[in-house]
Amino acid sequence: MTSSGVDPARERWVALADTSLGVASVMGRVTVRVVRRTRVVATPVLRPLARPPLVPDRWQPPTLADAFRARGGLVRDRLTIAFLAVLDRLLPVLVEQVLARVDLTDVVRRHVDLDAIVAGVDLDGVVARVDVEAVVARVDLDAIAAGLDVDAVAARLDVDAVLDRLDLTDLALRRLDLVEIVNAVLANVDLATIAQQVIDEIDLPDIIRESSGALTSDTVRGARMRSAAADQAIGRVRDRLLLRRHGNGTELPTMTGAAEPPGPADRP
Amino acid sequence: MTGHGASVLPDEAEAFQGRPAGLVSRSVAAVIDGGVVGGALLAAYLGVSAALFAINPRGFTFPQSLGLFSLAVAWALAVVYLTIGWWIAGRTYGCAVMGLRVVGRGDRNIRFLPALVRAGLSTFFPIGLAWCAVDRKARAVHDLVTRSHVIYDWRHREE
Repeated sequence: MTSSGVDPARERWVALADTSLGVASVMGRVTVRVVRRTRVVATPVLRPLARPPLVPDRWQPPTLADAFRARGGLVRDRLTIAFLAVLDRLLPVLVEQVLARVDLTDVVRRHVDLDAIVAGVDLDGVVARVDVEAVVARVDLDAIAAGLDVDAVAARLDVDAVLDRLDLTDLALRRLDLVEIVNAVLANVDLATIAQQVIDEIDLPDIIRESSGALTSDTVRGARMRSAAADQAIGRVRDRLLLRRHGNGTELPTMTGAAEPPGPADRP
Repeated sequence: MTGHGASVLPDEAEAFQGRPAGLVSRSVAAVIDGGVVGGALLAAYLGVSAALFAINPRGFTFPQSLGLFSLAVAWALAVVYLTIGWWIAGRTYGCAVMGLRVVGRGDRNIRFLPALVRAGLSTFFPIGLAWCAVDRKARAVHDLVTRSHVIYDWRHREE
């Protein structure tokens, strides 16, 4: 190959072909002219030759021509059969070799308008003819499910949105055996311990004191305390008088406030 | 309310529980009981009046005081009220308000007969209550007769 990119061998073959064509063209034209000029003169001479006298019919040119045509037809049929047989053997090999050397996908992509082809296809009709159940029946769903990353799918799931669409209260009331659940919960809960802890935490005595009925209200408690204090005062006066009368110099124990007991002398 | 230390009793009142109650507390309780009996009498009077009105609306007039009969009814009602209260619960409403309890020997509730005698005496001779201001164990006259006494017992209602 030269620097100009033209193959010299191919150039020579092209030149030879062109020369041959030129020669043939000139000879053809010359022949046509000669025939035209000589036809008028040659026809009376040649016509008798087409059916020569004294020659049997079987050897007459038309008969021979017919015989040759019939034989030629037989030969053509045999050649056609032989050619097709050769083609059957040769074509797969040739196609295989061609495809091995050609990127068919690329060729199709570059030269075929796939959109136009797809646009011309009646996809609805195709889908309508598909037996989906048979297709699904042939699919190994267990194998597909085993290959799924369920965690990833669940991670993408918007659980809140799903829950928003559900009436969980109604579901629970209809589907759950609440009595069974409550019994199970109560069976596992030590209510006595919990109650004790609650009582310990909230200072229940103080709450009871604060929220008792009228008899233990602040008013009644105050009246009781003041009365008790007055009792105590009277008791002190009595004890003092009695001690003075009996000449007993013993000191009475001091009592301060209503919180103190009414006095030792009052004890039963 | 035992076992958890949960008592409704105020701390300052804890000290004198079970000890004899004095004159003032018992007097206040007696006044309250008097009010209860008076209220019951008034209710009875209104009830009788309503009955009379229902029987004869045209000729209805409020019943006139019948003197001794009214007094006897009031006394009887007071006796019944005090007897039942002391016998059944050891306290009347006045005692409950003041946190007092009438007890006999061993600080147990008094029996029916002592309760009846005590009620009769305390209503017939109410001034006998004043003796508890003098008595060293704060006993009134009816206490001495029936061998009973009155103690502070605020806790009794919650037991």
